Amino acid sequence: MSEKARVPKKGAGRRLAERLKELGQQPPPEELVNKINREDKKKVASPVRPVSKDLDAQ
Amino acid sequence: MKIMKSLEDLSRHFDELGEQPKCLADTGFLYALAYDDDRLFNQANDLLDLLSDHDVSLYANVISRMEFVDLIFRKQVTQGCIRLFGTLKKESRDPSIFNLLKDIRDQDTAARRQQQSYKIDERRLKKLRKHLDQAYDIEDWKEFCKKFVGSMLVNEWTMIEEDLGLNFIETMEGRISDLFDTPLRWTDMVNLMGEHGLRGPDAMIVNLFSKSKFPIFITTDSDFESCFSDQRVSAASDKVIYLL
Repeated sequence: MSEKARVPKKGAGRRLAERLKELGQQPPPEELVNKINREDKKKVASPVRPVSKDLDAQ
Repeated sequence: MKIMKSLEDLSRHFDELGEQPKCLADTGFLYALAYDDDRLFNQANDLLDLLSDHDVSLYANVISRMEFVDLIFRKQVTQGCIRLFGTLKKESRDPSIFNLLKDIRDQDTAARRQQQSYKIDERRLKKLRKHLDQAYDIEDWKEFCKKFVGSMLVNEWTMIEEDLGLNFIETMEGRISDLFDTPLRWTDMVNLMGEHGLRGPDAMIVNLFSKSKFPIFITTDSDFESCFSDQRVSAASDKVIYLL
């Protein structure tokens, strides 16, 4: 046990708690909020194959 | 081995130990330092200040180190989810995300009533990430995480570990070090799991403490008390478990 060990700084836990609370109380990313509220979902390719309008194919 | 539950007793014990003592700590104690909705928040922080007054260094194993940062990640994501839910319009046309976020908010509310600190579980976390990725964009998930926790983990985490006075134990299988009298062996840890029905991380702590030179183990988990009282794993008689 000879190495120089760290020792806690007084109040370090409460400072960490304050910092985490501050982070947790921020408004969420605006872009995501707008997307969800507008249901601005990304376009997904339709799994159904389009029907051919080529008369020769009928 | 003695069980201690009062700061006054612990303070006297530090004085008796003399030279700068070293304590082993579990994840429950570290987490309790960080969130005031944890029922042990004040006790944990009063204890940390006592450790600081007595120049006591704090040690954790790599599993506790990982669990601590993982719990912080999950708790911050939980807080982000609750904030996000609060901004959604009732007429939101994405019921999947609306219901998932509402469920997380409700879980948090229920936990607070029981003085517990709710953290999103793995199933809900995966569901949230998958939904944001598939319905919107994976960049939205990344941006969300960055805002509520990522920036701190990237820029501040090393300093936070230093402020808390955390030291980490890295010992190779079968080796001894300045911190251990007896070599740590994987098979001993596995035997503890089998004999005492302990989960891996807990068995690792029990094995580590019983073979180490640490005079004190700080924990929030009363299960350790009964485990160490078993003669087969009992640590040296002058060791102390401080139970928050």
